[in-house]
Amino acid sequence: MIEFERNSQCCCLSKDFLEEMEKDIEIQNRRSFCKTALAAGAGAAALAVPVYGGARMALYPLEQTGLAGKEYSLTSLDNLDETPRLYSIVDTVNDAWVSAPDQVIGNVFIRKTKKEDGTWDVAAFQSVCPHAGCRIKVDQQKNPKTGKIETLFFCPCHGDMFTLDGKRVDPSNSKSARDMDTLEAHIDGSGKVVVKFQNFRLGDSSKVPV
Amino acid sequence: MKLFNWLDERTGLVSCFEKIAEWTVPASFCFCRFLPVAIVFAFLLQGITGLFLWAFYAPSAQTAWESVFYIQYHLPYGWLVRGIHHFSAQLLVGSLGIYVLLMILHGSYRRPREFVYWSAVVMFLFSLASCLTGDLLNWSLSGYFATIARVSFLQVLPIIGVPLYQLVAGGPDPQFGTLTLTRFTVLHIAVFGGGFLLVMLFWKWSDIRSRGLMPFKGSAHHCALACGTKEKRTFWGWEAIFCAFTCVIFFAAVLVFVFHQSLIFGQIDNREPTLPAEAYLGAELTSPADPGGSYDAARPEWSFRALYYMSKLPIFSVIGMVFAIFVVPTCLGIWFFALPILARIKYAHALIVLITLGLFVVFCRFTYLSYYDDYSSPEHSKTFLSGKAEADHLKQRAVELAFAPEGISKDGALSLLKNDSFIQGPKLFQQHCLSCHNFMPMPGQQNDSDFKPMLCPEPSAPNLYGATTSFWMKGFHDKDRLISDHYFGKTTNFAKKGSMVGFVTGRVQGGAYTKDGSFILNESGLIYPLIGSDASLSFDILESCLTELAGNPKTKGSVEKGEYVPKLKEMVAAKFADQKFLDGIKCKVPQIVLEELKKVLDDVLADPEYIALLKDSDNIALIVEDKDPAAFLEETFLAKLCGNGEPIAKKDQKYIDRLRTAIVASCNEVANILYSESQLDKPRPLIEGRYAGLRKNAIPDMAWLTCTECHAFYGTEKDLACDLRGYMSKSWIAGIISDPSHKTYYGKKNDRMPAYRPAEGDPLLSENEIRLLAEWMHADWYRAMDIENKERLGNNADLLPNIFKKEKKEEF
Repeated sequence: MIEFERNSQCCCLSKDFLEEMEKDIEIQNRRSFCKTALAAGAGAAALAVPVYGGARMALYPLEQTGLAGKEYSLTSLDNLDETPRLYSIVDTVNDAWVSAPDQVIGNVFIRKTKKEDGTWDVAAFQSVCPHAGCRIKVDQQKNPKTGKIETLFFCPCHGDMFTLDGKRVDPSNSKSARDMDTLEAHIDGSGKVVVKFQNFRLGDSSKVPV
Repeated sequence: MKLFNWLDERTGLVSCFEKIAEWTVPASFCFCRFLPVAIVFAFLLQGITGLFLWAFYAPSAQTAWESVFYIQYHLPYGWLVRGIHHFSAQLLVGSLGIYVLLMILHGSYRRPREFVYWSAVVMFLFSLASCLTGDLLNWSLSGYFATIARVSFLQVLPIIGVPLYQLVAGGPDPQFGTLTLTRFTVLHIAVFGGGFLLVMLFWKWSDIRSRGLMPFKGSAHHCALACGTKEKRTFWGWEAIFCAFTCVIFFAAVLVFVFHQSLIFGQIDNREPTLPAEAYLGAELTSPADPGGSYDAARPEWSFRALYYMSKLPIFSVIGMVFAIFVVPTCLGIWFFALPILARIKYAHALIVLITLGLFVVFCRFTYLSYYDDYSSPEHSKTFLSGKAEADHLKQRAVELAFAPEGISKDGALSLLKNDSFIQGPKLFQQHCLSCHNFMPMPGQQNDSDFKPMLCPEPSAPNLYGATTSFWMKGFHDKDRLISDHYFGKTTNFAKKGSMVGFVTGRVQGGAYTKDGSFILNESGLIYPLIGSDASLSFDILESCLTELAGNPKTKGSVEKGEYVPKLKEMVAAKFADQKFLDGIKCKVPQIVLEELKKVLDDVLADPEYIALLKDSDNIALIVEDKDPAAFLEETFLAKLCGNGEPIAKKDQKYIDRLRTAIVASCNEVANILYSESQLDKPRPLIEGRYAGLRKNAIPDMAWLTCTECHAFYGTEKDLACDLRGYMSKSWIAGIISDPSHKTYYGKKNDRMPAYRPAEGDPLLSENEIRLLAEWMHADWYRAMDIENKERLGNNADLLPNIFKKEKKEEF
């Protein structure tokens, strides 16, 4: 906006002069807008640097990747049973600036399974429920399908049940969208059970590593 | 439009916005109108960066430094955000100070703008308080010691001083801790930061209100009193551009400070290659605070420098510190708060301006003098600058260790430094050992950049620089070095009359020189059994060869013809090639010495002077006529070679010299054996009757050199001198520090070294401290690889600073 003094002589201004004046005001307005925009731009640019830096800082967690699926030697085949046993995965945890050795980073169920040729194999499962991340237990539960009491994987949070090979007992009535997460496991040359430990995205119907 | 009306009816936002659009300002341009803009902008910067820093900061004694380290070195642009936060705060303090000063000079602190002025003064005080509390939050060496000094002054106050201190520090403990940090965090963010925001809003409010009030009559500056001028123009034009420009310039100034360490001092280019560039970007982060340590360069921020300098004036030590720390600042505060009221008195304004200018000049002068004392004054700057250099050294090490593969443990980063022999070794040495032991490179010794030399004014014990190297061990068979001050020159039991010196002078040298330079072979020397006149090795060989020659009818003829010297030479060579013969003597004489003896005899039998002795016709006759070859050798040939107890002329000493060189070489071998002993941490295990890893001839060689006549070594248990098993290894060093009078070490011969941790009695050093000393002597510490070249301190590495080098850091 500009200021112009209204001259007392202007009362008899011609129509042309008035139009010209309005045009002038418009140009002035446009100029003023440009100046304001320039000012706002410069001010925003000065603030943009700390905001960008701070945002990069705050968004740093997005730049980090999860566990890459490291292999852990946990036990020997002789210690296993057909009933799953819980084993802790112990590793160094890098939590922000702290590097803490020998921390439990997760738990896995391991059981041995009989192959067709009579030899033993191992099966390993994440102990985290794929539904909402609760810790699954091995428990004596009543199988809703057969009505019998048997040993099952049981999630205490929402009552989901899984058979000992990790399948949902009743997929249609299950809260979990998928079966328990199996982990790659094998027996190495010295008879040790080696498990590749990974975490998976929760709630998804397919198993996606995180 | 309907929506706008609806909104405006309920919130008034639209009409407020319209009012803002109608803002007018004085048409004339003045710099001081933009200072408030800079102040508001600086606060915005504080708020934005502070919020992001807050999201990563963890206030406790074990995590504060570590989280700030994480911000500075790990988070992307963390150094930038932290740098902007730190330096814009300093500029905010400065801007507010100048703003208050200009208000006084312009006279705009008076009616009707009293509250504008008062709120500006409160903002200034809050910004100072925020700086003071923020300084401690990073829990670094400099922040800790600067803050503890300032807060401790609270105790000077009568009655309320001590309780006030306890409240601020979070306890009666003279040292700060986690509780200090938690309350300083609240003070910094909520009380002073939040308080600043409230006061700032009130300041703007009263500033805008004052424009609508009656203009002040008199000499008020036209633009500070916006209502004072007739001519006006809209804010949303050039004025807005100037305001934005002010912000840009202010921010550019902040950036200059953020990069000042590389722009002005070039510290990024010149930094240690093991150090990431972030170490010199943004605000400095010195090493973790060590309440048990000290910091010689602890100083307040620049804004408190004048007060700091004033408190050191001699007058305050007479009338009491409480005057410097509280009375004077309180009087100043009352003075500045009272100004708008005082100004009501006629002509008071002129006096106020004069006094304020005077105070400002004093402030500048004191600030300047304080910096001058620290950086340029010949008598005061030394402590400050060395304190700063030491802090920089510590900081570099702290960063190096924090980046080490083990990282920062739960105990925090201070424990890294506390258990680091690289840092603690020199400190402990200086404290406990340097009064007797020197630590300087000896002539000819290589300088190790990781070991800073330390000078002992009056050494009375060996110089321990590089005491675990073979260079140092080789000094033991060098008589001159051994009796110099670098070794045992100052010890009474050892040096001049000690048996070790006797060994070097008598046995290794093999005899003594007379004044005219001739040499008398000593029967107890090590050369004597090789080449001495009677019953020496060469005597035995030559005698048996001569006897064989003389008694053998086949060779007798050639002997008669005087052609037996080549034959003799052949036979001597055959003796050395005879394994059975060698087996008989090898166990006694070191290989190097034996080979040299063979060469010496070979050369002697080719030496015309010696051949002439053998070719003398009478002498031949002696052999031929079955005269005693032994007597013949002794009287003629060997008399020349080894003197038969008589001085050997200088020109005939060359063979003796060669043998002595060989003996020294075998002593060097022993030094190498000792060096490998020093690299052991425990005595060697016995594996199948032999000591694992020990050189094949180590034990017999040392026996021949008579080391084991006094020293215990594998297989011998002599305790006349120190045990050489694991000599100068970490456990050996730890042992001798603990109790040098133990029979494994110097036993009763120890006449000066205290037992730092004897089996009985009070220990002078803890087990950990002794371990650190031993590890330090062995350079047993972590050193980082060159970050950008993955090798340790490459000299020709191209070290261009790359401040945005995230990928490279991940490799690390």
